[in-house]
Amino acid sequence: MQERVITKEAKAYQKSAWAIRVIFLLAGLMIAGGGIWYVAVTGIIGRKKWDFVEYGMPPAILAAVGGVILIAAIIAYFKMPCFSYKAAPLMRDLKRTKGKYLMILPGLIFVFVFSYMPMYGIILAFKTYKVKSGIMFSAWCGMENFTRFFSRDIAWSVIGNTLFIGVTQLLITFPIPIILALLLNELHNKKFKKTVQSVIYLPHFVSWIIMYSLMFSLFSITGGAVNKLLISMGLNPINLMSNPDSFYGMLYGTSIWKEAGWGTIIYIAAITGVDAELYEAARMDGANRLQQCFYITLPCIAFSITTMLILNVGSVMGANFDQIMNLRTDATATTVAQVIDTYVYDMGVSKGQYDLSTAIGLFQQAVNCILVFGSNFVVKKMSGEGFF
Amino acid sequence: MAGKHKKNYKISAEKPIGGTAIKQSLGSRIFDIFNICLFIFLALIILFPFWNIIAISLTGNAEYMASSFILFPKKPTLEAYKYIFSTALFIRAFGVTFLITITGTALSVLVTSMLAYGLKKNTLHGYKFFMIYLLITMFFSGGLIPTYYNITKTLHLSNNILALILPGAVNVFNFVIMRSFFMQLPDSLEEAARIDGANEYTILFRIIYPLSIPMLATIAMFVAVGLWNSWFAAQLYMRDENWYPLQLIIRNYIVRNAKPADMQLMEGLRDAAGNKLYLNETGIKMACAVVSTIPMLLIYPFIQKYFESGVTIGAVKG
Repeated sequence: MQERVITKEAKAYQKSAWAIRVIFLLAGLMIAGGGIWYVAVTGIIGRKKWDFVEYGMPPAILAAVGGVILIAAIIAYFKMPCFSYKAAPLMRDLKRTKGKYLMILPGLIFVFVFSYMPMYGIILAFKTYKVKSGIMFSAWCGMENFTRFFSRDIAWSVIGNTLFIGVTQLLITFPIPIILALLLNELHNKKFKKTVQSVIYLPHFVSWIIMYSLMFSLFSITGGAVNKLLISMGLNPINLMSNPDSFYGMLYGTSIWKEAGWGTIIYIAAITGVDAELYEAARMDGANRLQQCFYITLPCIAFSITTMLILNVGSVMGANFDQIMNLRTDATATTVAQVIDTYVYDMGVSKGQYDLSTAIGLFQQAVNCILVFGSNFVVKKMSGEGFF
Repeated sequence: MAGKHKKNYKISAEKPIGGTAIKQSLGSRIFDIFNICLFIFLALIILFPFWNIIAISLTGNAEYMASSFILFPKKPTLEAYKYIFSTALFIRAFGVTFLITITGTALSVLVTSMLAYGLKKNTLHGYKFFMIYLLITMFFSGGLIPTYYNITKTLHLSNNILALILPGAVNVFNFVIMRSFFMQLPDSLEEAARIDGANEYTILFRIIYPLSIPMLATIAMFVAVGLWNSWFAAQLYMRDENWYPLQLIIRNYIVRNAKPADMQLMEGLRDAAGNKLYLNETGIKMACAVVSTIPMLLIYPFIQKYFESGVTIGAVKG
């Protein structure tokens, strides 16, 4: 008896299923089409904001109707008898996990408002921004903003600086935490080791602004402690802070001072996880400490090292905005210290060229994405397991 | 003897040469001494700049001008600290920073942990959609100008302290760490509570939270340090100097060398006898830096035991 009823309902569902699929599709097309129409019509020749009623209304109405149809279709899916057979388990699950949906709702809203809403502004990269028109009503200009950037002489020096700083900083600073962790591992006195760890983690918690203050108190040309010492010894003071030649050195030095100690945490954790029996066996075979380090510890933490390397490769194209913003001076700001991030800031926020800097930022993000997915692809090929 | 042997075996992972039976070679001992000296040297390199700014902040103007290198001020004075705490601007900035840090951290930990707990199991309908929805934001973002436009023009939050607190409420990276931690907790706890009639909030706050204290403390610390040290959002969105956080005041004062309006009064300071007072301006700058660093250093010992275990949670599970 029951079986027959279900099959009957199932047949009814199959018949209506196509209808509801078409309705869903129609609603989706109306919303998307309305959106595209709206975006296109509002930006083609560059209207003013108050032109909304005349040009923006029809597509907005189209999208709104699509939305109403979509909501109606969803209600129909749950309420209409022909679907209730299929929808019942889903409905039951939704009712049961209502609490969880309410729980994740605030987070989803925050992400939407502060991460997704700005993404709509990316279309500014393809428009000529006018304050009176806003993002929506500014005229489309194709790739003009990109060509405008790349035709500038400074473009290539900015990109070059960014890549140079990213790559050299990675090469110079990356091995240091590994070496430090291996050396820390060789310290026998537990109390001494703990104290050293506490001290070397400390600079990580200091902001780059305080970092500048520390550098200033040491290397300021007139009042820095090191320069005062040099002068009192009859030597010439060194100009570290505002000398373009020493800027990169200062970047590497401050990065190492601030982050090298903190970087050891992950490797120390990995070393702690190495099986003690491996060392026992190696010692039985007469391996000395150096050999144990090279043939046991290093291979065992190799996975952590590659992981960290890939995470760092992804950020080659602009990871140290905070550092450069605070360490650059008038002498270096427009030459060696001008990287993509700072250029976007200077052009966009200081000079108000929203469209150009959005385009530059978009270019940077595209390169970043290629780097992240590319390095992940390489790892997948090499070890058979990527991060995503 | 047996006990001793056992002990050695247990800690040999951290102490590869540990066995007392094996005699250390000469090279090994020289290396040990070298290693200890190296780390003492590194510790000094790290601590010296901190000591240097403390020393400068404690030095009077006359001594600072005269002496070449101040390791210990001969006549330590607190006038720089007295001065900065006499300016309303600085005290206000301190309060603003505390407000941003505390509310921002509480909000972020609450919202992110709710998200992580809600998406703990992949049996939730729409789970895949929600995960992709969140993870996309790790790789793509609007970028500087669209974000700036969104906050100032669309949401009208410019010159509003909410612009410094709300955008960081959900950090997807922290979400991933929290979620992988929650996934390690046994499901039976949750189910038992649910049978006893507990709702999701009770489970999260009464059962999951107490079991996740090291992880929550670590995340809270990261968020708090980030908020305490942040200045860029304030520079973008705040117009009113009264609502500047500490770091931005210090940045304008030290990095950009623009004396805050409130501190211009320094020129007119007079002592009790009516003579013009000359303060050590570098000392005042360094006092600002010291004062802004101290709260971080005060909580540091309390959270250190957590972050050493907590940092690796996300890394292991990834």
